[in-house]
Amino acid sequence: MRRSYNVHSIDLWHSIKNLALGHELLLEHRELGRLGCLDSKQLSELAIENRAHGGRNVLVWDILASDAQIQRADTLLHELDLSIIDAIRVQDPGVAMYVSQSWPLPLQLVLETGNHNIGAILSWIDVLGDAVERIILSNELPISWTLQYRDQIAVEVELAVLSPILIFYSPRPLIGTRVPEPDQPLFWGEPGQRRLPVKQNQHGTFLFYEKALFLLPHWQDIRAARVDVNRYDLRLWHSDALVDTLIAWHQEKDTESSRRVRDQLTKRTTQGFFKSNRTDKQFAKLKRHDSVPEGLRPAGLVVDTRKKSYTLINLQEAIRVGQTLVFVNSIGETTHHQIRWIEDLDRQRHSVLGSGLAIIDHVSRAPTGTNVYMPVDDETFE
Amino acid sequence: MASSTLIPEILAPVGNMLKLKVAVMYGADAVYLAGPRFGLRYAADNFSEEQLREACVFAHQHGVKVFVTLNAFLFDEDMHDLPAFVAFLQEIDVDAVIVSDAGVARVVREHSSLNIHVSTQSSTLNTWSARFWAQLGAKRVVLGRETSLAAAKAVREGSGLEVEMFVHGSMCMAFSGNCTISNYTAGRDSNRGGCSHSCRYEYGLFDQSGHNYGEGHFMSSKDLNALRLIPQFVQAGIDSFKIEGRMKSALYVATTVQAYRHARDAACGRLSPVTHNNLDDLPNRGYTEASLIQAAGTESIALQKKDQAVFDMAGYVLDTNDQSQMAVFLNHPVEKGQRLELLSPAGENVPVQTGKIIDVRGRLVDRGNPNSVVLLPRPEGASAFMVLRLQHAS
Repeated sequence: MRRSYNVHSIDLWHSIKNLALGHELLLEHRELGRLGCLDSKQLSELAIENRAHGGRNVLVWDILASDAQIQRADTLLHELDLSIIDAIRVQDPGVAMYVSQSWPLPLQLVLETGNHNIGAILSWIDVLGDAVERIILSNELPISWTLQYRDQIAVEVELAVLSPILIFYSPRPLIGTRVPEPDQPLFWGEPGQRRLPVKQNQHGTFLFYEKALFLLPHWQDIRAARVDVNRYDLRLWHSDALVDTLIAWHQEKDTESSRRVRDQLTKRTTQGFFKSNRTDKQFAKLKRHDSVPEGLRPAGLVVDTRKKSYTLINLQEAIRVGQTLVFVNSIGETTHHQIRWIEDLDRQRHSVLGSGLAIIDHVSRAPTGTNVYMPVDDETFE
Repeated sequence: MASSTLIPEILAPVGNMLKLKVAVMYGADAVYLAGPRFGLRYAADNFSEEQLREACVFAHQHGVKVFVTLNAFLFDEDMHDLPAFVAFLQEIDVDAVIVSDAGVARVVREHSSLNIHVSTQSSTLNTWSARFWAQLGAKRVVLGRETSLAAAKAVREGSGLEVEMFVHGSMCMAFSGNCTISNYTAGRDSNRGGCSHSCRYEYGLFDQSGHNYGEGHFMSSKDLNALRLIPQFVQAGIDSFKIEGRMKSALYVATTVQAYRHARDAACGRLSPVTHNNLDDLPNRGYTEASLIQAAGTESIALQKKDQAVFDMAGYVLDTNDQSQMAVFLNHPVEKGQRLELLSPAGENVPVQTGKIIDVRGRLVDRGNPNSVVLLPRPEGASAFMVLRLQHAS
């Protein structure tokens, strides 16, 4: 499997050069990359150096963009020497469309936000056509799904294997000016509780999960899923020791070398949703099931009741004295009740009432909000 | 060019059948709602299939369109039942579905001829992006709330699609669809209906040494209020004015639809300019015009919690009788003599006398309880599904 490395600053480059030189670099210009700090000159020099060592250079344009920003980027791209760039990496579908129709460079599509079904993934590739050389899959997809999809995806597939997890991206400057040195590592959280790394720059505010995505121990599963490229993103933390352990890991790829890499990370790690994703399990309990019981049709809703006195129904269907209605309350209790009398709001008695509010004799276990049904084959008017 | 809509549409959020009827009563041209699955508000009441059918019949009888949200980012396992549901929506004559997932758009296209609207969840911010969705069969895009009015006009002109924009309500601070805080911190997928609203919590801002630079609701956006800009929306040719809030009250639906309907009509020369609205009386986090004119900055953050309503929903009119009374379903306790107001669709707040509160069996009572029905004197023009409000005692 090939490797790619995010490079958003010269500082990071100096730190990871021994590890990354000659591989694929994801170069982040300050105008185009979410965390980009490189100016055009730095980016060009770095790309030339990497190319000289047999590496590939990918220009990262992952900010979500307005028309005005696309226009500004167009000017910038005309100024850059794109002969040293091998591909452009984008997330915004509009940016992808613009690049595919304006520049003869392969596209790498970041499909990390949503796109959790094969239909979505293939739709992107269909629209953008031959320009697409690679897709970057979401780390919310379990690897078993990637394996399932792989045969249907005709382009390269990339996964982040060591990376911060971006959980929030806003264009607004949310830290503002309340910190004198805004470039230092900052965190949002409650005292004594989780601390989420946060960064603010010219493109907005970015919040990361407290733990690092760490999939090195799963490299064989990733290879079995025929992932072509593994991404290493050390933008939030990097050190000489971490680079050394990573170099060793690439040679040994065993449990011990993987543990040594993890020990060098300053934060806890997670495998995220690599094994499974059951994020619907928790909230399925919130769901209110309001479907009509079999064999019944809606007749109305209880809107008032007084014990041993009356039940008031807002009618959807006509009802009649002697008819049996079915009352299903919010916790699912069912009461069958034969109507003894019906009154309207003017307290006139009726044997049949067709619409509006109907007062009937009291129904037990049928508080306000109870659904009222009648049998599907019940004919109030014969 | 996009199809020309002379009078832009007022599009209201409806979380249940009552809110649908209230929205229609107060002048919505279209409503959006969710079925039992595939939407982004799992905790909302939402509509069963039978209710969806009933909603379409009711709305269409009143000349109102129905859009159904299918705007979750779905997993393959969620997609199995989607073709049948899409076919059902077509059968009951839904006017459009709102999607954010390209895979869902594909299923809709393959299994129906339903109109496809692209949800704000897909963060469509530019003309090229609208063209991308056009290739996937979209008829309309709901632009990201980061888009300015001027940019929206350009998207409409450059893409050939209809453009819908939010005019009122709560806002994600993140680019919509680009927030997974809930997924990682609460185990609930924010983009499949489980958002736990972590952005509304209070946080401290710390450096590595633990120094606290202050606490606040850093990620909580003030609420959008674009009422002042409605003439500019009309001028920009925006096709649909969308109000956020399927989980909000019927009072919210009535108040917002009433305000934006009047502002739209005034901007289109159908009414004289309206000077009064009740939007400030609704619970809100402070209002902002977000990025409609210029990019939203720190002033758009609801740093301190402020969500207090001036008025509560007292109830709504269920029916009227022959004795100049109206039957009111109460959501809130009402004491004898307490001042109530009936919101009229025409824009007035009509006082309602509560000197005599009568229960449905004709007995005088001193107090009406929540979840019960009382009879009150009927002001002129009162009819079913009009909403009553009452001011906080404080």
